[in-house]
Amino acid sequence: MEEHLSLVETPAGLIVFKGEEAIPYVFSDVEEAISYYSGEIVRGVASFLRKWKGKSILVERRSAVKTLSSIGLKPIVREPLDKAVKLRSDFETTLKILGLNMDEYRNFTLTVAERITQDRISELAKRKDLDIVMALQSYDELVKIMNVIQDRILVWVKERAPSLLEEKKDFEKVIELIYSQSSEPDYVRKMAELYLKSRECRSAVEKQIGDLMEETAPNVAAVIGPILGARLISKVGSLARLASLPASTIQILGAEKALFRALRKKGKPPKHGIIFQHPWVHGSPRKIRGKIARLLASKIAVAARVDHFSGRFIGEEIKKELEDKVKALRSGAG
Amino acid sequence: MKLREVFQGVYEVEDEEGNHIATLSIAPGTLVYGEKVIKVGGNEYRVWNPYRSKIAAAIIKGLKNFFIKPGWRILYLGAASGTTVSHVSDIVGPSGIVYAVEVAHRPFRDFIEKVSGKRRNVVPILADARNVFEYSWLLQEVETVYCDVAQPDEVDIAVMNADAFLRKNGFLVIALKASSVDSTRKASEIFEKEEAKIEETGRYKIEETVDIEPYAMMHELIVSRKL
Repeated sequence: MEEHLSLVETPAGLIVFKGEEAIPYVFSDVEEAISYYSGEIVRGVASFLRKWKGKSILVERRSAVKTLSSIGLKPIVREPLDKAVKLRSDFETTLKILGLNMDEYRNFTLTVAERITQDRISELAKRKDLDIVMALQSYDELVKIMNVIQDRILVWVKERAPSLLEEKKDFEKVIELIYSQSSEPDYVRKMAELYLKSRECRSAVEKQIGDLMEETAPNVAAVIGPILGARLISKVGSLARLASLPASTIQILGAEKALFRALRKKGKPPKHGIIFQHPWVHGSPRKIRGKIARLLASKIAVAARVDHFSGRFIGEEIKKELEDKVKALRSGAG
Repeated sequence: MKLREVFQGVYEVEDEEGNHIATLSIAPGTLVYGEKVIKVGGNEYRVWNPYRSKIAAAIIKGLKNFFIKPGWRILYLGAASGTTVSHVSDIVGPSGIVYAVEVAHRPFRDFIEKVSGKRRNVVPILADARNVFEYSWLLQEVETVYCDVAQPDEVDIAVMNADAFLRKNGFLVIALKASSVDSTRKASEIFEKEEAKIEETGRYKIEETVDIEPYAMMHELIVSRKL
């Protein structure tokens, strides 16, 4: 029976355990360690690990799986890994296996941790809200494009293939049918293809917006959803600006025309702007929409500030608070 | 200038403004958060503000089991901008280590500049303390796990880390903020419930709890030992 292979990772080097036998690899320098833990495979590490190519190996760190697989190993995550636990409680043995003294090991630990943390912070500090604005504008354009193509194709369908509409009421299915058959004229089929490609593109942008929001404004995304959140950020230009706005302003962002009209003519001000698009607002009875819009806006304000100033994630707590309050409001009114 | 050692590495100093507790700086000449520095006999003592650091508040309120000693390794969850970490770093000294875990990158930026750069016993780790095995490769077994993360599942996070890294008989210390767990219930109820959670694991035993009013409201420090 083959012996268990385990990989114990340390800042100063790697140790592969074949059963009880410990085979060490000390990083040639701090740079090599940093590359390894950043997910790159450097030559020395690669030639060390390749000895076990094709074999299953236990590892404690989930993010190591990608790196190890790329060299051809078969990593299996084990949390915790018994060999790692043993070495953590026996520093002397760790040093002995690696052939290092305490100062060398400490130096590796401190420097590698500092550099990796610094790299991560620089990466995160790149303001990605500009990318969100661009992605959102692309999204809206794609929706317009899809509508234009849809209208044009429908004109053709009504004139030359009305039966298609009878058969399949859903426009999306009609498009797919047109695309899959070779219909005449050829340009119609090409337009169907264009529609499908636009739809694909729109999904890709939607995903990108989701990822960006998750990265730069996860709390706002948790409270009102990534697209709506992106819309708010886009409207005011940046997350920083959104974070500086009072909740009352956030509440009526997008309803400026109605707002100033009411202010000038002393009429009734709008209750909601972009926020109206949230199902909790437009899906609720008219009488409580104002309360819900106000509630939502105040939570968005908090979320935006946390996202801009500290990056902690409290989205789940805010969402839960909101759900409870909305439920209470709805059952009270309904 | 009166100077008295309260615990190993923690001193009570007196100046014109009264009594303060302070730590002996291992990076003399540098300040971390605008703290006051008192020089006695050629040494720099950094005043430890109980309104900014819960550990200082607990000491002033009569903490008996002090869980930081020179030469120890401490896992500090919730390092933020490093105010308290800097004092822990002073106490453990050049032969000790503070593994400082923080999830929010903005306060951590200041931390890197002001704390870990100048103090060669602090290991900065940008990670969510829930993902224990993402950073386990950096750690050795520790004498104390100190957790101050203001999350509703703080006790779970602390226990997970203690299970993985705390040595037998080591200290598990949790700075519990009642409003982070549940903003609607009474603080005393929440403290009771969370303390019960710790005992129910069967792996940790609570040695003492310290209410740190008036330095912070509805906060308590729970000091446990790993069985």
